[in-house]
Amino acid sequence: MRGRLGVIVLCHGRLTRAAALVRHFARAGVRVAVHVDAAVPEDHAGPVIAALAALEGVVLVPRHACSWGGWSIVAATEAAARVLLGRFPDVGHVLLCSGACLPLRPVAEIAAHFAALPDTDHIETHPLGATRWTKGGLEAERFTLRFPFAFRGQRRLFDAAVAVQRRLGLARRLPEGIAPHLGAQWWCLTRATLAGILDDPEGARLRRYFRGVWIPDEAYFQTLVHRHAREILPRSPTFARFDASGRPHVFHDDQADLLAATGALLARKIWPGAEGLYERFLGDPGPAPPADGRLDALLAAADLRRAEGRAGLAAPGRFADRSGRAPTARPYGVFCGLDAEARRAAAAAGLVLHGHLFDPAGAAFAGGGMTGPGALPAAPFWRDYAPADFLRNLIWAGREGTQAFLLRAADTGAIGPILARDANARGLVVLRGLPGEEALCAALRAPEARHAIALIEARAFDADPARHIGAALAALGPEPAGGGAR
Amino acid sequence: MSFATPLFTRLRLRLRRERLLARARRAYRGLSPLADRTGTIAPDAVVLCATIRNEAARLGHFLAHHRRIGIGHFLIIDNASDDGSAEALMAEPDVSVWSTRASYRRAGFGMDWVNGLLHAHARGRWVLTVDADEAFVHPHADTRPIGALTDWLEGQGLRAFGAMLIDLYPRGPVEGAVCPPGADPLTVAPWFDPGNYTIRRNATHGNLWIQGGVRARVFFADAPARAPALNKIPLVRWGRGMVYASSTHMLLPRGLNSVYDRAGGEFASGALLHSKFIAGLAGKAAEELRRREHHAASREYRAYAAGLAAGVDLWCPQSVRYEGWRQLEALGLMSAGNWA
Repeated sequence: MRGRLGVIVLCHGRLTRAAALVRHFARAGVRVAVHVDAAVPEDHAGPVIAALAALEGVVLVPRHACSWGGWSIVAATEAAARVLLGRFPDVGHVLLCSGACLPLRPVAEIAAHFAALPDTDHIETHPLGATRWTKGGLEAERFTLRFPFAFRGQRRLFDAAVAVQRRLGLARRLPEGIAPHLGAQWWCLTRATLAGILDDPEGARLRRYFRGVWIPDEAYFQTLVHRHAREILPRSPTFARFDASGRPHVFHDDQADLLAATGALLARKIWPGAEGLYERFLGDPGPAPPADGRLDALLAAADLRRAEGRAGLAAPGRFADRSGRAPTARPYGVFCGLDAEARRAAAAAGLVLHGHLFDPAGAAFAGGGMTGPGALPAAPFWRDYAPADFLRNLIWAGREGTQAFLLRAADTGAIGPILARDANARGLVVLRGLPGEEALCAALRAPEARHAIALIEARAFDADPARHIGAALAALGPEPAGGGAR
Repeated sequence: MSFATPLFTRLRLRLRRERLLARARRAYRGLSPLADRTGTIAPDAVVLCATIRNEAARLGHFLAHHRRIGIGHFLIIDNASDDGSAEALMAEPDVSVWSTRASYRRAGFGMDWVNGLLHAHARGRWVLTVDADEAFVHPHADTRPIGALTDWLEGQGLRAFGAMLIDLYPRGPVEGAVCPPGADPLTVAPWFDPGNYTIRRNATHGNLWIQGGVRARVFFADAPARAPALNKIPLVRWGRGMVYASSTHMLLPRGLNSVYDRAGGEFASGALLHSKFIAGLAGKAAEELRRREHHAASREYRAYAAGLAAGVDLWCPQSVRYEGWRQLEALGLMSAGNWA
């Protein structure tokens, strides 16, 4: 039977957008079951519920209090599904949405999409262990540990309970007849599959088990669908992504075109204030553009920035003292004891070569100004106040090219150890028995040194300067050339 | 708060916080309401709090900019203005105004008033605390209002949002950068230093300490340790027991100061465009020197007065003209973090 589309809308928080979504579905002839979290205050929920209940084809579900990561969300979904299937015998597919979902295509098109495959369930479902689906945190242990404490609100107890169970090797036994699967919460199931899950003869036993599974809304239907489905398209109809900390990415007006090009039928989570998105997609979204991966790429880049940041940057949001990574943005050259040769070589190789940056009288920037890259002052006070910041700023500001600078061994008191710890420090120190060389060598040869500056005796250098300079320049390439001290 | 912190330090911070809370309560009682419209604030509005003195020329743009980014209500403390600032503010429907003639310095450089006002009117709200010569810029500011940011922060489980003060300046003598009343000072002073900032971490309070920019380069080149702090935590979801401990540079409890990542990643952060260097600063510096109401016996203002009298040009060849938040992000002065 080619039935109508039915939609379950799970609502919590601000209800205005959820109500608009319900109206949008109802207007298009879709059957809707609405569940409003019991935690939404009555003075807000009451009027919205009353207005929705009066709509043709909309039914309200008795309210459960839903807590994140707990069974209550599944219980509410099952309750809504029962009401929807019981009340509307013409429903063929049931789509699960939240109040923060937004259809990206006209409802008629969405309904036709599902109706065209009357026996197909659209649900993301990955067998455990195939690929890692979850972002950090627990995966297989969601099914085998017990979770007496809330992840949000009782985090320390939650973590302690997990640690204790691991230590003691405690594990729940999986019930017979299921193979654990995980997937996104938002699906579209056929009436037959959904009814099969609701009325499963083993249902009571399975529900008892899944009550104890962590985040069952990503496991219960995704696992049980395999007991009842005829055909599974293992992909969620809804574009929803989580960031590395497991929080949903939220979409805004400026992402309208990117959302349209995801190829998905719906998207979540939409910012309630995204007037432009609601206007466009609840109005006329226009023809579907060819699907591309731009939004996924954008989200991945954002996650990467949050996780790894930009190398060599110190900023109000990034103080990477515990990163274990080089403090500077890219490799740079340090030349000590070969001023004339370095100048010639740098000019030939197209490097930006600064003069004696750590001259006690002031920094000699390339170009010789009172200020250098990033507007660093040439005056010595600021440089000597925070030499590591001075160097980091210099390399960051000039990171489009390759920079190098001259050093006098006598000037290296403060900067020697800083260079030594930086894996991006490359170049050449020629030992000519000048004052300060001993301290510089000690710093560069310290056990914690990570630089790649070559140290060479004057005799060896003078025998074949071109070879040594060539090697030092080659080490300035964009790829890190190992980290050990020479 | 980390358990690794010595008990003594934790006790000391706790006592300091309690003392500041008590001062805030007392200070609030000393404020007289000139226009209290706090009853009209929408439940989910982001509010702004500022202390002002004789800012009539700046208020027009200050209000317009922050209305444009989505501020729903302004809570303003007027510290004895005599240029009509208070009257102008009272006429605005989305502004509540309190007045005090008490000493700015003795009120913890205004922070006792701010803390008191926030506890009385901003608990449970996101509140942006800035000065009249600052303009808040957040990631995606060109397409998303501040409410989108605070909703996102809320969803991330964050309660505070850091921003860096960006000192702007004109090209040529400062007294030549005449900004008509109500106009955007960016039009006459759009330049800033792109990358000469030092960053340290305050182990006791857990906040970053950022110095640099034009003020450090020109006025504190020979005394870097005294250069003004540019780190701010201006946007906070205000709650019981919170206090700003030193301007908006740090909060207590100090967990609120963790607005940055230490493992190499980037937290989202914003910027405060600081338009101090426009014509009129010389007069202001002279007045502040007379009043001695500012930090460090107004050392900063002495430096300005000397420099401005000499007609110093703050511009240098590496100066960058302000274009927008994406430019600041590319330079590394702010970040959208994982707010895609």
